[in-house]
Amino acid sequence: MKKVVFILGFVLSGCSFNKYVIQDNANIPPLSTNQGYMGVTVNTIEKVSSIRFVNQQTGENFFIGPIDKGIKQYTMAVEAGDYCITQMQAYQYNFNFKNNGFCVYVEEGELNYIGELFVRWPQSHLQQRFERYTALLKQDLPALCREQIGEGC
Amino acid sequence: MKLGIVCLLALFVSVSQAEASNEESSEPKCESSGEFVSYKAGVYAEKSNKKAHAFNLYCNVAYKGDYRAQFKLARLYLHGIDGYLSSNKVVAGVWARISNSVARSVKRKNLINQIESELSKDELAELNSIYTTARALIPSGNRIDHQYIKEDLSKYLKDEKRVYTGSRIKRKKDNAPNNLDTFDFN
Repeated sequence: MKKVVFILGFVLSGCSFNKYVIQDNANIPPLSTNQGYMGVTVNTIEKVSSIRFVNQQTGENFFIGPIDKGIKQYTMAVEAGDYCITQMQAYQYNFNFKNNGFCVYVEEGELNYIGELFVRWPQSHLQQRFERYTALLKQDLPALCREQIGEGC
Repeated sequence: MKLGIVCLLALFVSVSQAEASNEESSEPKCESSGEFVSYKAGVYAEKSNKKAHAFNLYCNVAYKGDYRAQFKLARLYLHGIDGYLSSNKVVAGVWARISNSVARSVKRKNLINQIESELSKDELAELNSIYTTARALIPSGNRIDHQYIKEDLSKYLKDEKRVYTGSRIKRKKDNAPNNLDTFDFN
């Protein structure tokens, strides 16, 4: 019943999963004016149902997930602006992060790396692990890695 | 008579040296106060064509390790700011290298290559030497604004009232930045 309520809630609020996530190395969307790439690594030891992002300017909500345990990168092509990871669903709980959560200012024409989100009980945190993000990007999206990061790709 | 000419010459040399050092000190210092400044404020200032403000805002963030601000500083030092900051390719190169030392990007690497191709052999040696020292002191690879703060960015563009004494700029006593974190390239 809980699951049905969540799914219904997402559908009704017009939210979507992995909407902006780049998944195909052969089909990387080129950035249009006022767009930038936003990259995050999720490091989790449990399955994560969803991670919510909020565009602070437009109020738009979107989600990534479900995420299996392990370390995985998510790179998205989004409009420039402020984005925050505000909520996460894991361990059968909904976690709302304080003070708008973990935020990043996405600049146009750039690859904007948020950090590595460590999903842990009882407290999740964010760390800067650019080397690991580069390695994961090289593995998943080598073309984008070469285009944006170059060295190490 | 000869002694008089020598004395006059010595006086002339010391005055011109003093003038030269005054000119050098009129260049704005890139320094950081302990206060939190949003990187976005620098971008906003640059977009509003207030490059001098942007320079000071980026400096504040760059010393805390924000690689984006470090890259922006490199570009400002490369091109200079009309009537405010002279172009200095060596310093531009130092900031560009620092900005790309942890979080690497093709864009930043291209700027480093461009700057280094424009330097003489001596300037390149100077860049290498300064970079080694600077990299040990200045962190990089961070983004300072991990918390979203809704603020009016135009507040950063208000001109501070400054007291001018000759060619040197002095801050008002109560505005003096505390907890200074300065690295002087000169």
